[in-house]
This record gives sequence, structure tokens and C-alpha cells, in this order.
Amino acid sequence: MLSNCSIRALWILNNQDSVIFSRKFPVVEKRCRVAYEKEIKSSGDDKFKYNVVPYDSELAAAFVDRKKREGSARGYGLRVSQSVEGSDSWVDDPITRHIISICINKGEEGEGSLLWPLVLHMKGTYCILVLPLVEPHHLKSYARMCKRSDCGNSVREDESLSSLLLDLPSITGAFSVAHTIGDIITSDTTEPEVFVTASPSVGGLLDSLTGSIGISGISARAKPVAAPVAASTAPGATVSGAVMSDAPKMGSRPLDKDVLRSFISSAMPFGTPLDLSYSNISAIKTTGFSSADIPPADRKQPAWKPYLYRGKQRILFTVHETVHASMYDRDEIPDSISISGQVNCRAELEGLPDVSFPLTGLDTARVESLSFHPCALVPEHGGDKQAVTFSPPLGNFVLMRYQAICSTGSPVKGFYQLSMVSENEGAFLFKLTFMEGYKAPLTMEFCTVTMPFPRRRVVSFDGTPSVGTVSTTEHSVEWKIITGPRGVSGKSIEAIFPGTVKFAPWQTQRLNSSGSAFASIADEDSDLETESSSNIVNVEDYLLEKMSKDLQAVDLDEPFCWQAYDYAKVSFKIVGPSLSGMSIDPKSVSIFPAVKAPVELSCQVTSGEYILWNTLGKCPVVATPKV
Amino acid sequence: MTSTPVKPLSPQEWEALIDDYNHGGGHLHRSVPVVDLCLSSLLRKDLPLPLKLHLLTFLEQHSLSLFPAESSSSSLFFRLFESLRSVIQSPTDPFSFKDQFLISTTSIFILLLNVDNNDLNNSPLNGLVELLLTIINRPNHGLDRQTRGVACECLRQLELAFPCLLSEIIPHLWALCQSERTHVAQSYVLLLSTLVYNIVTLKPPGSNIISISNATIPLIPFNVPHFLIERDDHNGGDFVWKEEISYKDLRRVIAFLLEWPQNLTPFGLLEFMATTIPVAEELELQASLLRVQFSGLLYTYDPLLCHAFLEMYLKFLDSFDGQELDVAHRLLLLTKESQHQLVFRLLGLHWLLGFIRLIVNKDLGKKRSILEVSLSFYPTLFDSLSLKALKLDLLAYCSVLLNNSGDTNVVKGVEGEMEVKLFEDGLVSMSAFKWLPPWSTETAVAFRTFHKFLIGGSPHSDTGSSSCSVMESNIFHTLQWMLVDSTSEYQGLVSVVVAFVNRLLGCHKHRWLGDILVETLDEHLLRKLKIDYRLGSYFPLFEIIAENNKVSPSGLLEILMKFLLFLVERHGPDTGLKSWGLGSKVLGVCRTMLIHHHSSSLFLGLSRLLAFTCLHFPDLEVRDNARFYLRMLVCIPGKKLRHILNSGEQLPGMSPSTNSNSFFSLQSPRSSHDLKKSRSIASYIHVERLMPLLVKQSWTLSLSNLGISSSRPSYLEGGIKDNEPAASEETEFGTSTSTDIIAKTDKIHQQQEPLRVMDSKISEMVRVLRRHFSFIPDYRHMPGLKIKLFCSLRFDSEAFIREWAVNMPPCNNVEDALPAIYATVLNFTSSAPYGSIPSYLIPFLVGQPPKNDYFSGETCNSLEIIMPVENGCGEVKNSSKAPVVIELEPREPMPGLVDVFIETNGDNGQIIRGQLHSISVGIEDMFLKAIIPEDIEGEDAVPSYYVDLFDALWEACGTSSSSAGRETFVLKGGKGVAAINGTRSVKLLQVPVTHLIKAVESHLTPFVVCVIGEALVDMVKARGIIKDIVWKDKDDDDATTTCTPTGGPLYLKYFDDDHENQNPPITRKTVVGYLDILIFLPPRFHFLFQMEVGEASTLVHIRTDHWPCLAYVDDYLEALFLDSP
Repeated sequence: MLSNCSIRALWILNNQDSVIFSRKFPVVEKRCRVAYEKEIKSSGDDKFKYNVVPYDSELAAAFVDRKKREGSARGYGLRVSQSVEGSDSWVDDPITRHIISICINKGEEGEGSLLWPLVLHMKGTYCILVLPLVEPHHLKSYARMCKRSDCGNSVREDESLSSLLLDLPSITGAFSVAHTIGDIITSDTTEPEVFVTASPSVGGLLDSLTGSIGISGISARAKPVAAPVAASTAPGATVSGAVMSDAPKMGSRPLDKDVLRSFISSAMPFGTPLDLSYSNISAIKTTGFSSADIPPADRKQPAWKPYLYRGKQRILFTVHETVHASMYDRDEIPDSISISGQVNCRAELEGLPDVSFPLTGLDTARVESLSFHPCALVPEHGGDKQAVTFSPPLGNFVLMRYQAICSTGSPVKGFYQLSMVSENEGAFLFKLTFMEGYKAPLTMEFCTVTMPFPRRRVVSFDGTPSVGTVSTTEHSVEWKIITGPRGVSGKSIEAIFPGTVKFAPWQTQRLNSSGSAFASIADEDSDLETESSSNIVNVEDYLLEKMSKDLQAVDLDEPFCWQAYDYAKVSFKIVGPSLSGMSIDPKSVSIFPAVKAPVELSCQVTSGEYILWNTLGKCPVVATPKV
Repeated sequence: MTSTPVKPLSPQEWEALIDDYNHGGGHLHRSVPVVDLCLSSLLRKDLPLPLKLHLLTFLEQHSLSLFPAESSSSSLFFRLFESLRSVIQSPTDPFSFKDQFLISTTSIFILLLNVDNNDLNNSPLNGLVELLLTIINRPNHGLDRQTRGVACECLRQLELAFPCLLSEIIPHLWALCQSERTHVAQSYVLLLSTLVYNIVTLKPPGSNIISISNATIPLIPFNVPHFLIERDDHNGGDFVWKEEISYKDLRRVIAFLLEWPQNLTPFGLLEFMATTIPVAEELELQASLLRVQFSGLLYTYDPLLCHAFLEMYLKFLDSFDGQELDVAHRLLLLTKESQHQLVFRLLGLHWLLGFIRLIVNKDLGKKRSILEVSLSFYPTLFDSLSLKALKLDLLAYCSVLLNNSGDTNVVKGVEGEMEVKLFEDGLVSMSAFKWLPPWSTETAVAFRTFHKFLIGGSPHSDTGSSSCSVMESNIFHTLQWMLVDSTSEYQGLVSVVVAFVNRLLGCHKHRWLGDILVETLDEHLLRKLKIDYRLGSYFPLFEIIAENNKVSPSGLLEILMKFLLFLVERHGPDTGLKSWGLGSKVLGVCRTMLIHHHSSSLFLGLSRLLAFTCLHFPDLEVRDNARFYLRMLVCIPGKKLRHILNSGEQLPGMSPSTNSNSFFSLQSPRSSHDLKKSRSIASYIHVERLMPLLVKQSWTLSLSNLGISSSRPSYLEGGIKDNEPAASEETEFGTSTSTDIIAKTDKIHQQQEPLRVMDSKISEMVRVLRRHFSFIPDYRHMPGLKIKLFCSLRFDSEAFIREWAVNMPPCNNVEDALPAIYATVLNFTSSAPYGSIPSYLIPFLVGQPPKNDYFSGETCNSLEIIMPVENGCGEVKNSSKAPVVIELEPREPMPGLVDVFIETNGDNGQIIRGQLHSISVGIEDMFLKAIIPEDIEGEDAVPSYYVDLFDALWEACGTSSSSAGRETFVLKGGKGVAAINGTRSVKLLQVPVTHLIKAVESHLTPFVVCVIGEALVDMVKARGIIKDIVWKDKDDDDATTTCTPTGGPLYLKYFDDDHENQNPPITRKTVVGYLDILIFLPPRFHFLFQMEVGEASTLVHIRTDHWPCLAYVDDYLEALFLDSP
């Protein structure tokens, strides 16, 4: 049997490290025990023991131990000076921040027993731990890996974490489980957004079941659809950005254990996940089936489509693109701008029809990759033309995702310069061009440029932009360039913003020892550097030196140490055709068996990490392959 | 069954009980018949549904502990099943309750039934299966479709737990599967595929399966297959499909199943593939068939499906030949999709790496094509650091592939460039490590990458690989240079580089790599370092280099030498602490070298370094320590030396460590330093003068306003001036101001005599003085004149033992039982201007025996202090007193206190330190004989030289404005000049002449230069103590006039004074004679006494060229002549 995914147990811990929910799957556990007993019998290895899934209290204690050993819940992820043999960070791989091992201490036996792989997912204030079933030899292999006394794995090592992970779909499955549970306990189960011209966003699966869109007060509705937030985060686009708003949306709402229990019972009754679609499962739980739900006569109803749509038919597509850019305005470093996009869809079609449309204009130069919803029949690849055929599920879904290069040029161009004229005062200059070369239907609805100064307190600021208004917060200056309800369309605008900003005197931040995983390797000879300050004439160098001294190590999930750089962040929203050129021609969408259904397409572009680096300062770079 | 009914639990009580069980406290409820309560609660109508569901999962999770061991036959088991049946048949119970009841009951059955125990037959398993089959046997039925799905899943789990349980009814199941059209068809399909899988792989013997398509036995009633119960000959393998038709059936089933993937959920598909693909393999289906069905998975954005595809792909690696690049490419794209959760992108990179390794291991030919895509592994800007780290791993792997290429197609030259290019380009994304603080994550990732690139070619598992290949690789060279360059530019990296090297050094396989890195650092980095205070941060690196005995220490010694020179040069009032710290660090490195190297290789360089430190380093402690090390290096053979230094680290109270700190902890275990103990040290360890002072001086005259003492301690003291700088300051306080002196600016002038009119007498005087001064060393440019104070050190055994709790072995011999101190160092400091006072070392000293053991004469301590001249110094052979010599190099003759600090080791190895009582220095300690020029020889020449000198000085000091006062005198060495500013004074001593002579003899004998007057000469000569001087008759007018050459004003004044003071007049008649006494006061001053000795009183004429001394002379003379008996 190829390996599948079975879960031995899962736990949810709160931020006080106590288990607030747990579920064990004894059927899987029995399978595990049998496998271990077999392994022990065949290998004759009497040191190797079968370890039963720990009680909640044992697990919590072991988790706290690990946290202490590894510096944080996630851990170091790299081998650092504090790493000890047998711990996760000893393996020296960032994935050990997600796939962790803990040591259950059985007390009198002395050596605790290793529990691996525990999939760790942190959502809101919760830690979700999922323990999938793996073969005993996998566990042995990992145990060997984290106990090797050498200098660390080589990429060519025979026994490597990569091979192990490639061999273990159960870990991948466990992550899916963990993420789904995380979404449920933080009530973050929104479906992808689909826009229509009339109303801003269209509801999810339950709306299509009841055939009613946008009618408020449906009790069965899992969660009121949040009004589409115009700013920053694209739905589903969990970009590893500066600040992920992981905070629980519902505040300190107590965990709804009954909802979770019933979801788990339906999704993985015996510990083997079968379907993790929360919307489907909750629809079945709440609505059930009536005699009116007749299965289609000719076709088999897919498992992911428990209900069939009835009512007025139509298809909605929303192309949603997020622009990431790193603008340097330097000769030696090319600007980079990329788009990650997705096509969300809502097909309100009766029966089980197939929908297909051609994807045109996919010059390989622009669309780098395409990936699809599992319901899509993937066309033979290659060439400029591809036809997508899919059998749509109910409700909103992401039909496809793509990465592309911006074909219309960058929506915001120009430079940002910040120069510290003294220790506490900086002079800056923006010179920006918006929507250069953008034609009429493209409308920039809003645009804001933010200069964050996370480590300095803004005291005052001086300067007037040629366009827009400026406001300051304690740690940032915000320049609202386009705010009006109508936005800017069909023309390009230029904006200049010279000014100065004054900061409160520099205050040394105490290095939080627990926060910086790698702080311990810092040398203690600070008194020896006293001379250095006098050697530096340049204010900026002096400040840099000063700041870098109490700069904290960033989390491995961050792309770089944001605080070490000066930059301005642009956020905007553009409606109109997509920037990548990804489009669906409503006329070419065909449905089989043929029905008359209107096809609507909407498009919106928002900014992701759109960064203008200070042209006069340091900036992070990467090498781009010149092929 | 329990007869007494138990009170049912409330929902809250249930919650609490369940929580207890989950937390491992189930034993608390052992007395409660939990299962009974559970079952009855489940059937109650008043309990809320969520609680019932919770109870079911609780039962399921804890069934092993809740149900009795022999449960299969127990009534509980049957009750459970009966409850289930009643719930299922109840029209009112909600579906979700029924579903959960089915699931939990099935779970409990699976858990508690044991195939080997013949459980299957006795238990209600047949009933359960029948019930489940009944449920699923209504395909397409609307309302309960979800429950049918659940029942299918229950059956599937039973089939998984008891393989081939359902094998005999497979035709029915297939029929059901074909007809089911609702969304729960997935469950039917999974059940069928599991069943087929079990049949095909386990091949149950003796089964009734004849065909899959034709049912031979009815679905219901269900009986557990015979072979599951009679398991005696269950060894599988001998089962053969009875007819070919069955095989054909099987193919039909598979063909049917392979239609399904599109309709399955991702997890359903995973289960499906796990069972179907092995069957397809068994049936030798063409892989292309599978490819058509499943290759679409790779193009979905669901990571799970991608992984499922990979699994299948790897199983049919050969059949899917040629698709590797596509797969790799898709995986790469997965990692690039920013919409994914980070962890899936990380997983994707791991799969990619694992995948590539598999591919390359299998077929080296694929390497080329993999390398071609390697450029797309570059990290992108907004990739998280963890992603970047893994992408760099991929690049490292590619560079390894390039490096140990067996591929002849790649040109050698291009290879090298490519490999380094990957390294350098990849590292651009981490380039901030060069300037971010050393604890930054970027730095950690960068160094991790260095490590991966470095040892990529020589994995630990590879026992045979040659180390040379890594060493010769371009990566290694590039890396070395990069480390050298960035470390020299950014000192913050030192600690990181040290950790990196240590990591390699700690590895059995890559130790040599660490060694080479150390060599490189030694060879190239040291040269690049600038010698300034920042060098201090490189010491951890120096330690590593010093530790490595494969690296010659010469380079390190060289840079340390330079650094010491720098420290010495830069030393000033602000850098005291810094010099100490850095100097100590240098010594720490020296110590490390001593431990790790053969002394022969070190000897020359290190001894020079240490010698230099002893001589010139500004900090006393460092000098002292350097001296220790130097002595050790010179005297102790290498092996022993290393042993000594190493064992030093295991002193009590100190943790052994190898870093540079160990040096400090060895020297000063401050943590264990007991303040209270050290304060009391002075009460039992004594250092005392051998010769008690005449005057118990308690004060000194401080003349800071003259620029003499505190503000500029080493310059301008006493009015010495260099030739070169203007002598203006001298003139400020000098009574004579002469522009001639100031005009002397260079050496030519210096040699020329100033043009001046003087008579022969004066010129003779000047000649004498000039000669005299030219022999006085100028302490600013050469070692000055030193005076020695002789003291002794002793300590009180009793108090010492009490204080330090020394365990003395019981011993008969009194002396052996005494405690001792070892390697005692006395350090001296003084606020008086005595120059730097060298420490004094006493290797060994035994304590003084307790008083009651000693002879009675010792009972009085004061006696001992007074008596030392006679018996103190070395006469008592028990070494309970050690001689101590304090060498002062006074800048100004004045009394003062010398503070004494002791540092010593006790018997038990304790380090004892503290301050002892101070030693007082009197003015008489400053008394020296004038220096006799080398060319004065012969017995007579010396006394007459002294007389001449006395006369000349007397003359020079006597007149404030005479020609001598305007004269300057070049000191030895020719750089400094001195002027004489004389002062006079008188003192009347009312002592009889005999008494006076006695006192002079006992204290001033060496300084008497001349006795004048017959009577006095006779008196003194007769006593025979003062000798080798000039004797003159009283009538010698010459002498008198010489002594009082311009006596007019003096005499006038003297007579005036006498009259005023009502002293008895001294007339010439009563004068017995004169005593001339010449005392030299270091560094270059003089006291001149001319005692006009009378029968009953003596008048002392005092002249000096250093008037502050007059402050002390009164007391001294009084003490000398009046107080002594």
C-alpha cells in the first residue's frame, strides 16, 4: 500500500501552553502499534519502543520543554549555538519550525521518548499540533538525523530530511488538516471573493444552496461575509509579508468545541481524512438532505459537490491580482515587479455541466506558471493557447492561480530618497509617477505611500506634497495620494513630495534575549568599540552602526530584516483589466450541456509588497539569473 | 453488570470526567462504572446532542481502558451493539448522532477484537457488519445518504483491521458501487478499492471467491469468512485465481475505479491511490494509463495532490522516463506561488531536492538537464528567509553536482565558473550578513549556506570520498577569501566565524577543513588587520589560531607584538583600563599557545613578546603576569608546563573553559573572593620595616602649586628641565631668573660655556658642581637613583589557620604542622612620588608558630619590632620571616606611605589577596651618599672630593643671587639641566657634645665629610667610628673662612636670632669644633649640615637646594639628638 494520510492525534493549545482541545484516533493508533511491534520483532532492536500517544498533560509539558529548549514555539530552525544534540534545531533545517519533535518524559525511565512528526501550525493565539502516522523506520531515521554528532547534514547525505519528507504524504496531509482546523477555530473560513458589478461580493456555498444572494439574516450562514477590504491582503494570498494579521478575528472568542468535534467526526471519522471542505461539511450538518435532492440520472455526483444548484444560472469570474514590486531606482540593480494572480469563480449552474474557455495571451514571457483547482481538466500544455475545462463545484472557488510579469509597466514608478541630515532629522524626497501608459478603463481607486519608521518615533514633519495629503502616526508618515471616490483613470499623474521628518532622540532598545534566537553569539566586547564612534564622520554610517547594534534577529518567516532598511510602501487598488493581461472572454465561455447563462467578469488589482527602497540607503537584493 | 444503579451524571460532570481522562487522570474515576453510565446517557432523550456526540468520541478514545480486558464476550460489548441498533432504527435520532454512533462502535470493535484470539466468531461482529451492510444496501436513497457513506467507511475500516473480512461479498459491493450516484459514492469506491487491494495482495486462502461479478452467497446474513476464523494455515501466496475470468473481472473493476479520480476529494484520492495503484501494478497495467489519469494532479494547486502524484511517479520511475524535468519544473513553480502557505512552499523545496537526488542517483545522465534549470533556483526578494535557506541548499546541491562531475559533456573550465557563480549569486540574497549584527538571522542563514556549500562534496555518510576534492574546489577557495575579506572588514563577524570554524573542528569528518580554515585565517587575515583598539574584537579568532597546533604561531606572535607596541604607545590616563583588558587578553592568547604548542616552536617569539611586556607594558598586573609566563616558558619543560596550565583551570570555584575568559578566571576568581576575609588579612600577615624610623612621620608636605607632585607627576619635578623645551617654568619659581638659561636651545649651546665674568674661586666652585651634577642620572631618561627599604614579611599561623580553615595534617614535627603560603607577590603603590615600585616575590614562607609553642621572649610583639636589626634578618632559620626589599625611585625627597598588597596561595590552593598595613617612609630613608665620580680613586681622594663638593654646594646654596645661582648644571645623559636655588636654616640643639657625637655616629656616619677643630677631632677620632674623612684643625682660618665665606649677613642674622630667642649665647670660645655633613637626596638634591659643636649645645647650620625638605629636618634632628637616650 502506498502511504496515505492517517492522523494519530491532534491537539490545540492556547497561548498559555495548555491543551484546550484534543482528539485521538484509536483505530490509527492500533495500526501504529501493530506496525511498531512488527518492526521491533523483525529488527530485534530492543531499544526501539512503541510510544503510545501521550495524555494531554504530558504533551503540554513536553511542548513547553521544547519551547524552552528551542527558544520559541517554532524554534530556531537553524543550528545555533544553543542547539543541543537531539533537538530539532540540531537538524539545521527551517522546516523543523513546522514539523517538530517533542520528547515525552516518562519520568522514572529517564530517557524520554521521541514523538515525531508533529505538525505545528500557529493560528491566532492557538497552536495546533497534528501527529500523523508514519512508519517506524521513518521515525528511526529522523531520530538518527537529530542525534548525529557531526557538523550538520550535507546536501548529499544518504539519509536526509528531504528524502524523508518526499516519502511522507501523511505530513503534507497533516498540514492540510492543521490549516483547516486553524481556519475553523479562528472563524477564518471565508470562501474566495467573487465580485459582480451590482453588489461588491457574492456569498458562499450556503447562498447558492438557498438560491439567495446578498439577503442578510440567513441563520444558516456560517459567517457573515466580510465586506471586501479594499486594502492590502488578497483573499487566500497568504504572502509572507511584513505583518500577517494572524490575530483572531473574533477577539477572545472561546473555542467552539462542538463545531470542531463535529467537523472532525465528519472529515476524518477514523483519523483518516476524507474531505476537509468545511463549507460542504457544515452545509450537510445544518441542512441535511431532503427527498428533493435527487442524484443526477446520468452522471455520478462528485464527492466534492454534495448538492446541486437550482435556480437562475450564471457564471461569475473575478481576476484578482496582487502586485509585488521592489523599486530601487539604481543603475546596478534592476527593479523587479511581479504579479501573483488568481481567477476566482462562482458557477451557478444546474446539474453537473462542464465549463470551458480558452486562455489566450498567455505568452510564456508573462504568465510564468498556472495551476488549477482539482476540478479542472488540465489541457495539454505548451503554446500560447490553452483551453481550460472544469466541472465547477458549488459556491466560490479559486479556479486557477498564476504568477506573471507585469505587462503594462509598473503602476507606480519613481524614487524615494531619505537622507539623515542629523541624528534625529531626515530629509526625504519622493518623485513618483502613477499609471504611466495606462489606458482608460484602468482606474486607480486609491493610492497611499507609507514611510514606516518602526524603530524611531516621529516627532514632527514638514513638507507639502504636490498631490494628496499627509498624516503621521507614531512610527510612520502616511501620504494619501489618491483618495477620491472616483479614482484616477485614463491619465498618468506625477507627484513630488519633498520634506523633512524629525524623530525623537534615539533610544537604545534593550535586546530581548528570548526574542533573538541568535543573540547569544554576539560578542561581549562592547567596551572595545567605544572608539569606533569617533571614527565615523558620516551621520548615516554613525546611525547605521548605532542602530544595527540593537537590531533584533528577524523571524525566519520574514524575507529579510525589514527594520534594517529605509523604505516606503505603496498600497493601491486598481480596477479594470488585469495588469498581466490575464482575461476571460465572456463570449468564448462554453457550457456543456449547453444552457444560457450570462458570464460576468470583474477584475481587481491590489498591491502586495510594493516597496520603494531608499535610493540613498542600503537595500536588500537578490541575484537574478541572466538566461 | 452492576446491580446498584448509579446516579446519572450531569453534562458538566461528564465534561469534567472526560477532561480528566484526556489529561491522564482516568484512574481517579475507577470506581465509577463509566461505560454503563455512558450507554445509559446515550439513550436518554434529555441530554443535548453535542454531549452525546462527545460521549461517543470519549468512549471511542478511551475504550481500551474503559472496557474490561476480556471484553469480546462481555455483556458490555453486546449492550453497546444493542444500543447502536436501537439508535439506528430510531426514526427520531438525528443523522449526526447515528453517524457518530456507527463510527464509535466500529472503532471500539476494531480496538477490542483480536484476530488471534478467536474473537471474531464470538463477538457481535457479524451483527455489526450485517447492520452496516443493511445500511449501505440502499443505493441512491436520498435522506440518509451521508449515513450510508459513513457506514461504508466503517466497513472499510473493519476490512482494513481484519483484512479480507468482506472478501466473500465483493460482488455485492461492486454492484452497489456501480449503482450509487450521490456524492457518497466516494465511500463506496474507497470500500471497493480497499477490498480489491486486500484480495490481490493477501490472496486469502480457501475463500469462496469465485468471481467478482457473480455473487454466489447473499449479502445478508453475513458470516465472518471461514479462513479468518480457522487461521491455522494462513500463509498466503498459494491462492490462485480459479479461472482467468476472475482476472478479467479484476481488470474490469480497476477500469471502473480508474474512471473515478475526478470525482474524489483530494484526501479521498490519496486513499484511492494508495489502494488502486498497487493493484494496477499487480495486474501489470500500463503506466501510461495511470499517467493519463493522474498527471493532472501535478497541475493543481493542491500540495497534497502534487505529493500524491509524486508518490506514484516515484513508484513508476522507469515508466515515466523523460518527464523528470516537467515534474521538477512544476515543483519549482509550487514553491514560487506566493499564495501558498509558507510551509507548503518549504515542503515543495524539500520534495524537489529529494526528487532531484533520486533522479540523479538513478541516472547520472539526468544531471545535465537538472543543472540547466539550476539558475531558476535563485531566491527571490520576498521569499522568506527559510525559503531562501532551502533554495540555497538546492544551489549547493547543484554546485556539488557540477563539482564531482563524471559528466564529460561539461567543459572543465565552464564548470568551475558555474559552480562559483551559483554560490556567489545565491549569496547575494544574504549579503546583509556582512553589516547586520552578528546575531541576525541573515548571518545565521549565510553561514549555514557556507557550511552546505563547503561540505556538500563530502557528506558524512560517504566514507571513501577524498578530502582533496573539496579542498581543491573553487567553492572552497572562494569561501576562504570571502571569510577573510568580510571578517577583516567587519569585526562583528568574528564570533560567527569562530563558531563556524569550531563547528567544523568538532566534526570527526570535517576537522581537517576547520584546520585549513584556521590556517587561511592565520595566513591572510592577520596581515589585513589594522593595529588599533578594534583589534580587541579579533581575540576569539586569535584564540582559535593559538589553539591549533597545526598552524605556526609566528604570524600571531607578530601581530600581538605589534599590538602590544601600539598599546604601550597609546597608553595614557584615559586608556588605563583598556590597556589592562587588552594586555590581559594578549596574555590569554599566549597562555593558549603555551598549552597547545611545543615550547620550542614558540620560544623565540613568545619570549620576546613576554619580555617586552614585562619591561614596557604600562599595566602592572599585565607585566607581572607576563613575567610569570616568561619564567614558566624559560624554566619549565613543555609537557609539565601544559600540565600546570591545564590544571590551573580546575581550581575550585572555577569552571573549566577554553575560551579567553579562562585567563581571567585563573588570575582572579573574583566570585570566590571573600571580601571579609581579605580585610582581616592585615591582622595576621605583617610586613614591617627592619629599621624603625626615627620620626613617626604622619604628614607630608605636598606642593602641588609648584607643579611638582600631583598634576604632572613625572615632569618638571624639582625644577629639572630639558634643554630643548623652554625653561620658563623653572624661572617662575626659581629665585634667580636668568635669560641665559632660557636661551639654551640646542646642543651646540649646551656645550658652550656661557660667557660670564667670574673669579677663579667661583669658577672652581662651578667646575666642581658641574662635575658633580654630570654624574647624577636624569630619571626622566634613564633609571633614576633608587633607595631600598628593607622590610620583612611574616604571618601568624594560628590566625591564618582559623581564617582559611586550612586542614593541617596532624604531625609531630611542629614545623611541618605550620601553614605556608606560596608564590607570594607583594605589590606596592604609593601616593607619594616614588616612581613605580616593583613587586616583590617570595616563593615560600612558613607561618610563625603559635605563641605558646614558641619561646617566651616572643610573647611581646612590640619587642620584635624594635629588635629586628639584631636578630630579624635571616638569623632565625625557620623561614618564618622573609626579607622584603622595597625599591623606590623618588622623584622628590619626601616622606610618605607605601601601600602593600599581597597576593598569595594557601596550602589548599586558595588564592589569598588583600591589603596589609602600609609601610611608612621617612626623610632619612632618602639619605644617600653623594655619587663619587669614577675617576676619583685612592683613599685620600674620596674624602677631599667630598670636602670640595661640600664647600662648593655650601657656597652655591648660601647665596641667593650669587654667580652659582645663575648657573645651570647638565645632568647625566646631557638632556636635562638643573639649577641650584639654595635655602638656609639653623637649628639649635641643646645636647652635650658626647651625646651629639654618639647620635651622629649611629645615624649619620656615612655622610660626615669633615671634622674641624682640634678638640672635636680628637674626640671623634678616638671613638674610631667615623673614619676616612678630612680632619682639620680648629685654628685653620682657611677652613673657617671657607665654611663661612660670605658670612656677614648670616652671622648678623644668626646673632640677632639668638638674642631674640633668649638662647644662651654661643661664643667662639665654647665652640669645640665643626662637623660638616653632606647628604645627597635623590633624585638630585642635597642637605648640608654644618654643626657648630659646643660643650652643651650645638648649632646646626642647614643649607639645601630643595627647600621643602626643611619641613622635615627639624623633626628629624630633634628625634635624632634629643629623644634618643
